Amino acid sequence: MPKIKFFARFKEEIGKDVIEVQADNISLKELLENLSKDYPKIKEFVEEGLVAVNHEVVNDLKMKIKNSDEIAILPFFSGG
Amino acid sequence: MNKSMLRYRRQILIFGEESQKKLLKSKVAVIGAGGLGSSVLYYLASAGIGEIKIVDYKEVDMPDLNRQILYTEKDVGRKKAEASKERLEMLNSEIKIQSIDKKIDEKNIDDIIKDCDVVVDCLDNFSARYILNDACLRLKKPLVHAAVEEMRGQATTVIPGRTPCLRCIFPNFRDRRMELPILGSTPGMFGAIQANEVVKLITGYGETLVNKLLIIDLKTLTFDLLKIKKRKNCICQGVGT
Ligand SMILES: [Zn+2]
Repeated sequence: MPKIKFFARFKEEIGKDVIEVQADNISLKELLENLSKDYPKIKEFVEEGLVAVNHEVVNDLKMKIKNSDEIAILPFFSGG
Repeated sequence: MNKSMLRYRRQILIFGEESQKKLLKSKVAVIGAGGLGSSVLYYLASAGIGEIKIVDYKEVDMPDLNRQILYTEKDVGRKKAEASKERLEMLNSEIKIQSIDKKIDEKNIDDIIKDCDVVVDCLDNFSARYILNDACLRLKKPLVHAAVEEMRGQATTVIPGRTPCLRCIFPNFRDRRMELPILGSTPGMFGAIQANEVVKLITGYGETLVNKLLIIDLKTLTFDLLKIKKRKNCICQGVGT
């Protein structure tokens, strides 16, 4: 099952480090949409943060997700 | 070793005298002299970057002092451009420090960075970061980025043509108009990482954050090094190496 890990503020807001989901041959976009039914905050996180699959930042959510994939949703920062 | 090289003896042990000469011949622009800028500027001046340009248009304010370690209580109300130059000249009188009391915009930025070898992003908002990113792409200048909030931050190094640019990684960030929470040691640490990147870019020693995004959460001590790729249709796609 793909794992979705949350970091920093996102982890605190969702109250969990990791969510495991059933997903077979679907796109990252679909997976995140399905998940946002149970966790409505995810939509906001994806808009405001970065999504990485297997430690690589993803620019296009159309990519297909495999069972072994590790997805991370991370906030980024703007101060100096 | 002559007297002026003596102060660099401990770092010459790492990368040799030739590399030190490269640092002494280099010119670096630091955009923003706040929390990140304080840390970057101290370390670049002490490492012997031959010429440093400081760009900042603000005055020192009391709540800056928790993190902007270039300034003292006596500097409150003074221009950061002026106070930072004075401070750094006390630290290293053998290098050249130029300070520019300006807010960067599309019109002035090219002139500021055109004669520099490396540009360091110590800004506190993304509107200005996009202006700086685009100018670095136009003039093909390496850009060392960092940004911080609370006890967290990120850093990467952009080499125009070779790596993703800031717009590839953060395509549409809208700045929030609020005072961000921040502990001084966070920009202190990220500024140190940026200074390290600058020295490595100039000397060729070690590995840089090219094509990588470093994200550190000091609250939980989580370190992540993510791979990054150029974004399709990004303005940086047309830039040659
Ligand atoms: Zn780009």
